[in-house]
Amino acid sequence: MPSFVHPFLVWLAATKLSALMLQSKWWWAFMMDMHFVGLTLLMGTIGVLDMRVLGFAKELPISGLHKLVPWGIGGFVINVITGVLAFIGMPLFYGYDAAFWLKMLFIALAGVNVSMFYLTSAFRECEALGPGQDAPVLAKFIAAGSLFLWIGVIFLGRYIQVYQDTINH
Amino acid sequence: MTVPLFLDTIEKTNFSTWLRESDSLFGFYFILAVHTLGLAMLVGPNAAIDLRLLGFGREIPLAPLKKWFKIMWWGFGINTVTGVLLFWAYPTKAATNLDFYIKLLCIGLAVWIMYRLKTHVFGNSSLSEAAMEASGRTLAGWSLFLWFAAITAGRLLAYTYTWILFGQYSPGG
Repeated sequence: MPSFVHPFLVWLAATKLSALMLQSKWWWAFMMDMHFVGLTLLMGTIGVLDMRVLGFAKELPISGLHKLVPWGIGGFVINVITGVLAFIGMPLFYGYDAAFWLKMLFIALAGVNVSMFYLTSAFRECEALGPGQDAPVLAKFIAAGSLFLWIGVIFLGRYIQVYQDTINH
Repeated sequence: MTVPLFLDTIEKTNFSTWLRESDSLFGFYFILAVHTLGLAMLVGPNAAIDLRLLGFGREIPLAPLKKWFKIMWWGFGINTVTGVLLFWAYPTKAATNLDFYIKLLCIGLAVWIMYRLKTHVFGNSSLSEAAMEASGRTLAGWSLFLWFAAITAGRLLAYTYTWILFGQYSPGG
């Protein structure tokens, strides 16, 4: 752990915003509730798209499914907001949790993965596909990667509770 | 009303104790993680289908979405199994919590809607796409609401219980 991290977490934990996050358990419950709504929107739209690219329910046009992706992005944004607020609420708890950092890594990798989709030929080739047509191999790799990473994020998120205090102070 | 003794009996079984106390990689938190995955499998595509029936993403033809019901039913199955296991680990905590019954009611209604969508909207091959959308729209709206309610009720379980275990009063989570 770099030397500046601990003082930063301690400072963050002492802020008014941090205290505000912890003031009411119903607020915390609401944030966690929205976090699950966000994950549902993300998995329902991007997950369905990934599965189509991999060949499930091939009659669905990829360009059509793509139109629901903004809902998934909305879900992701909800989760970034609730996630950041949760971290601000309990910086030392999350900061010293190995599962939390691994989850962040998976999310970063999912970001890299989605960039690959849009920056390579994969996106263009997929948009051009009609119902029943197979997606190119590169797109399938990206889609499989996406599913693996987001499922991983779900699992790691649930294991945050288990892996608290697993990073050396 | 006193807390029924059979809940204590369940908690004292080897299996219930193992679920709560085991260090195994496949213990309580693994079951909880699989429960979350089942939620994603069941509610994720369901929400996408609901959004489509409400008119979003109209380029998506409705008929092929029928294939997703199989995955959604698997998600429901996974969550029924993991749900029973989670209940078995903390039966008093769940059974004495009104929120738990609200959750089950919301799920029951949402799944019943899912069944109706499958049979009457997606299962009726004589319906045109427009007719499917018209007949499924109201159900889709209720479905989204009920799943949101179920997720909320589920999340609140950790904050609304009064007994963590039989004889152990611990209100507020």
